[in-house]
Amino acid sequence: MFRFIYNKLKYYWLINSDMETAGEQGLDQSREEPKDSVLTGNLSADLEIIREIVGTSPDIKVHEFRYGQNSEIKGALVFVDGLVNSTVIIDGILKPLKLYKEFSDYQSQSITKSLDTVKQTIICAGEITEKHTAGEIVESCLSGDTAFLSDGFDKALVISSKGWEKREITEPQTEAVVRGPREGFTENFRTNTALLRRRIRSPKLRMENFTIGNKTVTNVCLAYIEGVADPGIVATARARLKSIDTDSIIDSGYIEQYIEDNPFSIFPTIGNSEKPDVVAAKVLEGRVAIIVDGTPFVLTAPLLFVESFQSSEDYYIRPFFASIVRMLRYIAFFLTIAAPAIFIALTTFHQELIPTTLLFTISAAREGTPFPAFLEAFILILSFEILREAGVRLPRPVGQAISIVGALIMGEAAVSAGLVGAPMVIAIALTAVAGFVVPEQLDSASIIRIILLFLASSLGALGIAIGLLGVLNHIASLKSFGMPYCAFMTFHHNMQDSYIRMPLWSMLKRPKGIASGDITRRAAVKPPPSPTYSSPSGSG
Amino acid sequence: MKTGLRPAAAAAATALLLLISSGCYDIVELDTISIVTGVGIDRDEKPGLIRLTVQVGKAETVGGGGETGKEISEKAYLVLDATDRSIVGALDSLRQDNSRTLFLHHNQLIIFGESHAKDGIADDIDALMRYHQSHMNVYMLVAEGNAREVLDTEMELEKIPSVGIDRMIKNKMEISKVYSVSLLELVSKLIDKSSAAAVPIIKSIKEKDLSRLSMQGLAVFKNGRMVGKLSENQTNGYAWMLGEIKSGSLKVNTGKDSAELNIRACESKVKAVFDKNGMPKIQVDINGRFIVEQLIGFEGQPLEEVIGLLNKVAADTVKQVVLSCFKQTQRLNADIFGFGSHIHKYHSRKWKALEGRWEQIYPSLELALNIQTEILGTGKISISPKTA
Repeated sequence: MFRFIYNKLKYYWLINSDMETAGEQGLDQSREEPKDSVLTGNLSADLEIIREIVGTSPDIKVHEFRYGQNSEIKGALVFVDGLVNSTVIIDGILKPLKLYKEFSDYQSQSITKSLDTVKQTIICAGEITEKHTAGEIVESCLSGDTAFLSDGFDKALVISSKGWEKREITEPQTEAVVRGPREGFTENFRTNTALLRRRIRSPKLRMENFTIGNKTVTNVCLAYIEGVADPGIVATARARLKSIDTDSIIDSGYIEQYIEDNPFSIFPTIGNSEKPDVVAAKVLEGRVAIIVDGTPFVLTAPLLFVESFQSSEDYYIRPFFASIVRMLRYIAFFLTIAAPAIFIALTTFHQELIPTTLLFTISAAREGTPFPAFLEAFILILSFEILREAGVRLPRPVGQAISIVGALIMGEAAVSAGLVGAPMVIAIALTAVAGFVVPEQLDSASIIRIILLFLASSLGALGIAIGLLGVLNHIASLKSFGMPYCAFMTFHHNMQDSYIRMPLWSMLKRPKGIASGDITRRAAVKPPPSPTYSSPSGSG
Repeated sequence: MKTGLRPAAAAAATALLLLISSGCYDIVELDTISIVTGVGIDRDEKPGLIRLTVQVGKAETVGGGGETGKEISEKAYLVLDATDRSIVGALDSLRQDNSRTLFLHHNQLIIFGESHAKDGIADDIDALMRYHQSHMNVYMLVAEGNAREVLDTEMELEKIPSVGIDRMIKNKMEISKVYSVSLLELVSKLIDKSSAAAVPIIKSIKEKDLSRLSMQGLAVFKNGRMVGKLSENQTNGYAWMLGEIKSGSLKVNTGKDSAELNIRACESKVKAVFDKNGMPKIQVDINGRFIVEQLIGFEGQPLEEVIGLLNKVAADTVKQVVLSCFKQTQRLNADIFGFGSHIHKYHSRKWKALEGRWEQIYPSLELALNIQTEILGTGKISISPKTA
């Protein structure tokens, strides 16, 4: 077992040393390159090479046809069925080729020239590139392009024809808001970049493309605003993305785990969101966004601890209630990690701190319950986690029935059977509900909660103090892309957006450290002008 | 295992072991304790022994939890007692004879039986101050009769009598805080050799099948021993002298008519002056402000006249109760007002000469009372159909 732990630790050290170097020099990536054979010009031979690379997958179509004045020239289209837009192939490639009859001087022309004719005059498509090797052709085809090969040409034209079934832009399931935009990212890469671009029209919005994953060859885009985002953070993100060496990227979670600063911390140091407005706001604060093909979850970095308590809606509603709600979230977070521990500490160690009448009430509920208070709390937390996990996985139609049986009936029965005390159920239920107020820290809170519970049940309030101090110590040591995780939480920082949300017109500067260069949002603190009424022309 | 790992593994193992081997050293599950809400100390029939009575709340009948629909008719508390030479010994024997540990942190009050209080409570106070579960803010009371009787008196509205008595004291504190004496206050009065302490008296009244509790008057302690009582009227005088009346009413009588005045504010200022022999004289300025609550009589008299009259009789009434109280304390030779400590505080050089003789001086101490009263208002009406 120690050997196993040791190996893990070694990995941890390795990661740390990697992270330090990754900032300056991107690691070389050893990518499995497709087999590169240069096209010969003989159509059947070339097609043979391609077939050799892709094997006999039925979805990879090779369409051979004849065109030209007397249909004397042999040509072929290679594409992947389902990834291409058939309208483009039919109307943009096949129809023009077959109907174009002015090939009089075709044979006499040089190969380059006649290919230019095809490219410039005949084919109607947005983007046409020339590819020389079979490997390149196959790679483009697999990402949805169509390759046109013709007898006598030692080049192929790769015509952009991407078009596959995709999900509509819908309201995201995770980040519901009362007020604010409802659209969410989709699984489609281009749609996602477009959604971001649509919110930030500035030409300074830069998007850098990466392809990561030897087998999946996933498109990944690093988006930031030049001049706003700190160049250091952008460089770090770029280097870390380049250094990823893996065969598959299925979700942005993969990227997150490969590039995060603290892989052994329970706290996330890279944020994610399903909503373009959230990502746009974060990019405007100077963060970088990482859009990954195939997932609606866009990563944002760096992530600070205070961000967990911010919601997009805070900025859409007026500042007073937003500030109250934000403080409420801090309280809820404290409750969700500490409520069971405090309850245990009070009822088993520090009964003198409970008001007398309340003590009698709690005591009455404890009367006759068979387990120690700690075990009672642990069982309840465990069953809540089971219910939550089941609730996520359950098919929608049975979900409601199961949660009613699980939560209501079982809870009520457990109390009336005298297995657990009602105050304990209330404490755990409060804990469970409060956890969802701060969804970003849901995972970490669940873990801290159990650690604190252990400490509280062996050392009482002292244990809670030790545990909370440890947590504080830990988050103070974390960094995210060079930013301290706890930035903007103390008086050394600008706390305009940490514990309360100041009015928009008073938040002049972007968060320093994340943004550099153009950090001014507004020139001066100026409340909205006092109204000068021009009499409404319609009335009177 | 490599060397680099050893310290880390050792630290982790140590932390884990410490956590486990502490074995929840101080853990007390709620269902293993009996929560003591009141403590009574009486003199036992056998000489030299005391009887310690504890009132223990029964959680099942008090709290709202547990099985619903169960008819709660039994008493919500238990009264246990043990006889021993000291409080600590009695607590020990109570602990040994019970299935549950006594939990004294939530004790609300300590009641001394009258006869025991007359024997002296200094030894009990010593034990209570030392005992770690005993808190300094517990209310102290003296029972007329014995303390066990008071602790075993069911209250109509409260399930646990001690909690009820606690609320009674808080209610009485609305009138004046002389009705609440905590362990700390009692001890600080007892430590001061020149002062005496006044502790509220509680009485259990049994009428047919009904029983109730009543708090009337104060017990005066001197040198750790109860030396006498103040009547309810004298208690009022005590409160006036201290300027510690917050609300309540004053009944005044002009001989022909009478009135109820609501006390709105009250202040007092103590000053010590000395004659040429160095003998002290205490001057007390008392300032009371009232609102007219009810007029009984006063037919046909003009309002200004009535108010002037009321001012005068109010001052007389206050003077009367204050003097009555002062006389009683002089009879008992118990300086409950702390005049001695006032002189000590403000005339410390002169006090050196008086300190040893205070016992002799106090019974004949001269008191000059200056009472100012003011009628602030006449309630919601200014013109009564009765007054002209």
